[in-house]
Formats: sequence, structure tokens, C-alpha cells
Amino acid sequence: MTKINKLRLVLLLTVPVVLSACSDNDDAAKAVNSTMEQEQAHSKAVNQEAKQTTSKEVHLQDLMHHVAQAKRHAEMHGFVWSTTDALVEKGYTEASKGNEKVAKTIFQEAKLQFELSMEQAKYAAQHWQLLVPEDD
Amino acid sequence: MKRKIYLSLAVACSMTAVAPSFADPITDNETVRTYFADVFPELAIEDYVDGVYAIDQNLRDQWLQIEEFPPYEDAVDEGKVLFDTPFANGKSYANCFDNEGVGIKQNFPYFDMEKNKVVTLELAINECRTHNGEQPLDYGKGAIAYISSYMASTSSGELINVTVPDNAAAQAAYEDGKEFFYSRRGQLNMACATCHMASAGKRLRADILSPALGQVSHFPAFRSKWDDVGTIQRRYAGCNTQIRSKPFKLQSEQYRNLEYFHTYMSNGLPINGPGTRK
Repeated sequence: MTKINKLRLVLLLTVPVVLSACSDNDDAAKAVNSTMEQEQAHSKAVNQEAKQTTSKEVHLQDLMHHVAQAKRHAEMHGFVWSTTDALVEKGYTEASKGNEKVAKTIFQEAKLQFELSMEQAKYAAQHWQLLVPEDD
Repeated sequence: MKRKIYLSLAVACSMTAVAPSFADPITDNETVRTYFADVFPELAIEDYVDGVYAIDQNLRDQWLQIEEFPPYEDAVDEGKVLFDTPFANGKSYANCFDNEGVGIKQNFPYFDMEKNKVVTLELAINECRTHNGEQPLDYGKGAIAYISSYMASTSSGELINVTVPDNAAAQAAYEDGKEFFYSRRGQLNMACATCHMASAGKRLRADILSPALGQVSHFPAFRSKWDDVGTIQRRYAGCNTQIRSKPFKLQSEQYRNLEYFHTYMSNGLPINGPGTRK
């Protein structure tokens, strides 16, 4: 084997490994990203479905179902806001009283808050190091 | 010769590739101390155990007056009684801990290799109870905070000595706690570090924010707001609520790992708990 071939072999072995280190090597961020992408795709589908229905009428039961799903996802990431559970509870109370319009408004807000908290989780997973002080 | 160079290059590149992207705990501590030395050049490292009372003279004067008749004394006395009271099986807390539970607070939390998790003092107290057939105590306040206060008092002056062993799970727990500390959360989008690193010493309404360094040394603490002593994790839950983040359960993995990182940060500082805070 010539010297040039040896060099090629070494480079061939090392470059992919080095490149993999240069990529985002934060497993947590990747995991959250992957889950978030799935959730976003799901969320888009749900929103699409909701928009189609909104033009006529958003069904309260569907909205409650979407909120419950969003809540599960947000809790999985541990970034739930303290304000959101209270909203959900209030939404159920209004729904049980038959105040469908008010309940829908509240559930929409709760759903938005869950979605924002998931966005926050995604941002935190990728950027939490920004707050770590650096040595001069 | 050239073959050796190529091989060395290959090994070095591979090591670079798998090296973690984060600093080790010792470097983390040096960085934090350098950071605070820049923010508070007038403070000596041991001053940080006094929190905001090391920063503001007016608050310090008030605090010293309160400390003349410490409001946590009853909790310490009650804690000693509870600590010494035998369980139904005749054993006691002393049987569960090294040195019969005296002067050991500075070593908590630690990473238990067998259980593969961070063990805090309060968790160990409850594990001692359940191991001896007793019901666990509620976390955060009440009896568990009293027992913990008594145990902290027996460690007064001992230097915090939390270790992160050369073990992947232990290092992951430390790193998890670090990530929690520096992650923005809640509707107000704030991290622990937002207040207690970046804004330490600044005012938040009528309060001055304490530096993260040294915070754990005086817990459990008697807080005027609580009118009682409470554990550090009760404070974590309170902080999370204040930034409108849903708090985790006390002694959850998240809070245990946070306490692990947070306490490691104060390694080498003396235990002065229980303490008094607003």
C-alpha cells in the first residue's frame, strides 16, 4: 500500500467520526427535537382538522381531546406552565355548566399555552448552555 | 514513524468526537466562582453562605437581630426529639446513617451507585422510615424538615463535600441538574440562573436576589413567609411557581438532580443551617 493510500485510509476512518462530533451532539436536544417534530406534524394535522371544523363549528369534545393530548405531551417534557392546569379545570367547569362558548375560548387558550410550553422545552434543550457563564 | 503519526491522529480525532460537550463539575465550580468574584469583588468565598445578607448591610443588620433569637430553634429541638424517638421495631434514625446521623449533612446529596439515583437527606430519612416499617413523612415541611434541621445543626461548620463519582449515571444526574438550573421555563420564561446568576444582587421588586453560590448551606431554612422551616426542595417548588412553571413533586428525579448540581456548586463552603430568610 502506498503512503498516499495509507493517508486516505486514515482520513476515511476519522473524518466521519469528527464530522459527527461537529454536528449537534446533544442527545437530549435531538430527542426533544425528534419528538417535537412528530408533535408538530401531529399538531398541524390537528390544527388543519380544527380549521376545517372552525369554519363551521369547533366541537367542544374534539377541542377537549386536543387539549388532553397537548397536556400529555407538555407534561412529558416537564415544561408545563402553572397557569395552564387552572385554565383546563376552568374550561371543564364552564363546559359542565353548559357554557359551551366560554369553555371553547378557555380550552383554546389552554391548548395554546401547552403548545408554547412545548416550544419552550425545545428551545431550552437546544440553548440552555447560553446562560452558563464562560471563563474569560 | 509516519504510521505512528497517522494512528495518533486517528485516535486523537476519535477522542475529540466522543468527548462530552460540557465542562466537568470541577471546571463548572471554578467558572461559577470566577463569575461571582467579578460580580461581587468585595465578597470572600465563605461570605456566600449568608446569601443576600452578605451583600446588603441594612438587610444584614436586620438578619443579625433576628438571629439573636433564632426562629428555627424550636424546629431543631423538635427534630432532635423525633430523631431520637425509636421506631416501633426499636430501631431509630441513628441506625440508618453513618456516624449515627450526626455531622453528615455536608455529604448530601450523594449518588447511590446501587440505587442508581441521587439520594438527598430527606429522601434518606424517609427511606430509613420505610425500611423500618414506618410510614414516610410528607416532604417539604413539618416533621421531615424538623429532623433535617436537627441533622443540619449537627453539621454546623462542616464543609460541603458533595462528590460526582467517575460514573456515567452520576455524571448524567449532575448534568441533568445543571440543565435544569440553566433552562428557561414557566410563563415568565426564566431559569434558576436568570435570577440567581445573571441578576444576583439586583432588586426584584422589594427583594434582592441571592447568588446561587452558598444558597444550599443554610437549608432547611426558617422563612418568614412560611412561618416555619422548610426544605430546599420546597423552595425550588416555590421558585418554579413564582415564574409560573408547574412545580415538580418534591423529591422527584428532576429536583433531586437539581439539588445535586446546586449543592455541588457550593462545595467547600461551611454548613450554617438551619438559617433564617425572609
